[in-house]
Amino acid sequence: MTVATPPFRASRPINQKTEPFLGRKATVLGNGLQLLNLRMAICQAIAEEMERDPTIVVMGEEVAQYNGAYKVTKGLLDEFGPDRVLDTPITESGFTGLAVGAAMTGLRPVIEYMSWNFSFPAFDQIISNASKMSYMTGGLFNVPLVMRGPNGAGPRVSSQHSHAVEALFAHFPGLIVVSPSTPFDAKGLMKTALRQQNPVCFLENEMLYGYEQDIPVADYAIPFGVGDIKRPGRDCTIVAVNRSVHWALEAAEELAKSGIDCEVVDPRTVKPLDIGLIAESVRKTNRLVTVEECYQTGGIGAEIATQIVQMCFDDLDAPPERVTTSENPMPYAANLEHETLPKPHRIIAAVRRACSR
Amino acid sequence: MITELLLPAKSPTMTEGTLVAWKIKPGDQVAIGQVIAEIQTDKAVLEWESSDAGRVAVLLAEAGQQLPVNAVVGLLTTKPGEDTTAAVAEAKAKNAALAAPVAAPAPAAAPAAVPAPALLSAPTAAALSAPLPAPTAKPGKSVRASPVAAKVAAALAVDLRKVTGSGPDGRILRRDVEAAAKDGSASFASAGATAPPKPKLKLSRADGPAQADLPLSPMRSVIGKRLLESTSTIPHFTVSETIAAERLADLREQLAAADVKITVNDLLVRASALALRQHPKLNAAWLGNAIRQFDSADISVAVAIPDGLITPIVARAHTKTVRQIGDEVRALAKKAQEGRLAPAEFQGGSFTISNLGMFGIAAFTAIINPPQVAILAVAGIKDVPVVRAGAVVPGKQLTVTLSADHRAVDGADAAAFLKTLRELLEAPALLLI
Repeated sequence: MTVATPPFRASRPINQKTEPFLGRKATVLGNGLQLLNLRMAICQAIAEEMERDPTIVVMGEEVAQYNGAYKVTKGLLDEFGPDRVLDTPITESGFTGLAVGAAMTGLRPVIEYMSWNFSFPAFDQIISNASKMSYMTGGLFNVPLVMRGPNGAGPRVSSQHSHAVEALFAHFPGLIVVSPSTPFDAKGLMKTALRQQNPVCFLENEMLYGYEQDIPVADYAIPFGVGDIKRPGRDCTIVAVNRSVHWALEAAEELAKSGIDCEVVDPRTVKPLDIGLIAESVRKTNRLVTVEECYQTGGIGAEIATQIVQMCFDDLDAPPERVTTSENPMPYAANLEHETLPKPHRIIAAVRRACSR
Repeated sequence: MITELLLPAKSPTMTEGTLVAWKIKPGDQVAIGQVIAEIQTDKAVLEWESSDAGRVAVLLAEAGQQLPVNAVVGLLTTKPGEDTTAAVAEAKAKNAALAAPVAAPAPAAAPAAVPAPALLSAPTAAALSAPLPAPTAKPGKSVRASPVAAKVAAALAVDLRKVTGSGPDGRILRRDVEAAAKDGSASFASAGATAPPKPKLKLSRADGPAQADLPLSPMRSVIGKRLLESTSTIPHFTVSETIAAERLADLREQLAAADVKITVNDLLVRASALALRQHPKLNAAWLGNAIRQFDSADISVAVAIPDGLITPIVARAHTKTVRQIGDEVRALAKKAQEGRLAPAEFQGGSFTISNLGMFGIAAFTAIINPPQVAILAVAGIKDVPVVRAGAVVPGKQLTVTLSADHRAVDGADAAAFLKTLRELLEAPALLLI
C-alpha cells in the first residue's frame, strides 16, 4: 500500500498543542489528517496494532507504570492492562532473551531499550539469537520481534550514551534496520514492523520525538526498503537517515541561498536499503554526499558510496563525500559535541567540495 | 682533380665505423675496386673497395680510429704535384662537423612533431566503425575529467583536450563540458552533432537549371574516405544465394498474428550470428599482418540516418533470442536517429548486415566495413514462380549477397557460410530454439 508523504515541516518547533496530549490521542484536524508528534505517532501505531492483534505485548524498563522514559508508551498500560504492557528489571540481556523466546512461541513482543546504547548487554540475544533463529531452525521458528528506542546523540549525554547503531546492526544478516526521520514515516514503518515475521531494530531519536506532522487518520503502512525524497533538487544528492535528515534539510536551505540545489533522499530503512532511489537521484545530480550519525569506518555512507560508485560510475562528477560523527568518543563539552556530530555546517562544506563551489 | 675518400656505410644501420687497418699508404696508386682498408661496422669487419682511382695524397685517419660515416679519411689526386692544402683544411672542417655528434651522441633527433590525429566529431566517426581518436590523449598532458563529464563530452562531441576544468586540480566537470558545448569553444573539427544548415537552391543563371552545391558534412566526408579506402584496398568478391522464404514469411505472419513484433531483419541477425559461429573465418578482422578471429558474433546493423548511415552493434548476438535482438535493434536504431549512440554502441563489431529489403529491391552488393572481412547485403522477399516437383508453383524468394575480403576469406568459405545461413533461414524454427 502506497501513501503519498504529506508535506513535512522540518523546522517546526515543538508545539504545545501536542505536548499535553501525549499518548495515542491526537488533535484531529479534519481533511482526514491529525497532528502528531513523532513519539505519539509510534505510540499510535503500536496501540492500533495491539487492538488488531492480541499477541502484541510491550516490555521494557519503565514502559508501563512510568509511561516510558520518553513517554512513547504513554497510556498503553491503562488501555491494554498489565498482561500486555510489562515493566522489566534493568536487565537488557534478560528481557531481550525473554522476548526472543516469546516471539518464537507465538507472541509478537515490542521491547523498548531506554536507549539503544543500553542494547549492548543484549548483543548476544540480538545477534546470535534473534537474527539467526529462523535460519538455524530451517524456518521452524520465526522471531517477529520489534526492538525500539532512541538512537544517536542526545543533548550532551557524552561518550557512552551517544551511539548511533544503524551501521552496527545493518552489518548482520537477519535483522531489519528501520531509522525514520518523521512522524509519518515512523508510524507507517512501525505498522509494517508489527505485520511481518522478522526481528526489527527500530531506531528512534530523542531529539526528534517532539517533531510534528499532519498525518493521515486512516490506516497506512510504509514498506521496508522504500526510500523517500525529502527535498527535490538537481545539483547534489544528500542521503541521510534519522536526525541527519533534518540537518541535511537545514544545510540544503542554506546552500540554496548560494544557488546549490540539493536533493535530500531519506532511505527510511537502512536494511533493506533503497539503493535504486539513491542511484536514480545521483544519475540526475551527478554528486553524492552521505550523512549519518554513525562513525565513518564501515558506516552506512561507506556502503552507499560503494554501491553508487558501482552502479553510477559514469554518472559521477565528483567522488562521493561522507559526513559522519567524527571518530572520537563523544565529548561532553557542547562546542565539541557540535563539531563531532554531522551538523549542517559540516554537510555544507561537504556539498561545496562535491560541487567544487 | 682531388677526390675525397668518404667512410662508407657498409650496412643500412651503420652510422659509424672503426678503421681497422689501411691497405694503402700515401703515394700509392689506387685503382677502382681495389681494397684500400678494413672497416668494422656494427656487425662485422668488411673490406672497403675504392670506387675512385688516383694517387693517395694524404690519409686523414689512423688505424683503430672510430669515425662517423662520410668522414673524409683520405684524398686522392689524379694530377701529380697537385696542391691539397685547401682540400685538407676543408676535409678537417667537415670531419669536425661530423664528429660532434659522435663524440657526444646528440639526443635522438627530436621526433618530428607527431601530427595530431585528425579529429572527427563523434557522430561523424560513427558513420562507420572507425575508432575515435582517444578523446583524452593530449601529448604530454593527460586530461582529468569526471566520469560524467567524459560521458557528456562524448554525447555532445566536445573535445576534452580543449576544455578548462573548474574542479579540484583542474578536473573537468560536467558543467565545464556543458558550457564548452554551449559556446562551441571545444567542439571537434566541426559540429557534427548539429544538422548542417539546409542549403538553399540557388539559380546559377537566370535561364539555367536550378542547382546547389552542398558542403560536405563531416559524416559524408568520413563515409567517402572510408568507403573509397575499402574499395581501393580490399580485394572484394561477392557470392550470392537465393533463399526459399516461404517458411520465413509464414513464421513472421504467425508471430505478427500474436502481436509479436519480429522483423525478417531480426531473424537474419540471429541466423547470421549462428552461422558465423560455425564459420569463424568470416567473423574476423584484417589487421594487415594477421587475421583476428572473434569468438563472439557482434553484428553491426547498418541504419540509415538523415545525413548518412551508422552501424550500431548487436553485441554477442549468438547468445540472444530473436525477440531480444529485435528489441535491441529497434532501441539502437532509435538512438541512432536521435544521435545518441554511445561510441561503444557503434565501434567494433565483427560482421555487418545491410538490409534494403524494406524497399523491395531484388539484389545488391555492399562495401566491406574495414577492418571487418565480410558484409551481407539483404534484399526483399519476392513473390516468384518456383519449380517444385517438376511443376511451376508460386513461391517466395530472398536474395542475399555476401561481399568478402579475399585476403582473409576464400570463395569456398563464403559459400559454406551462405549454405549454413540458407539452411537456417529455410528452417526458421531453428532460430527460435
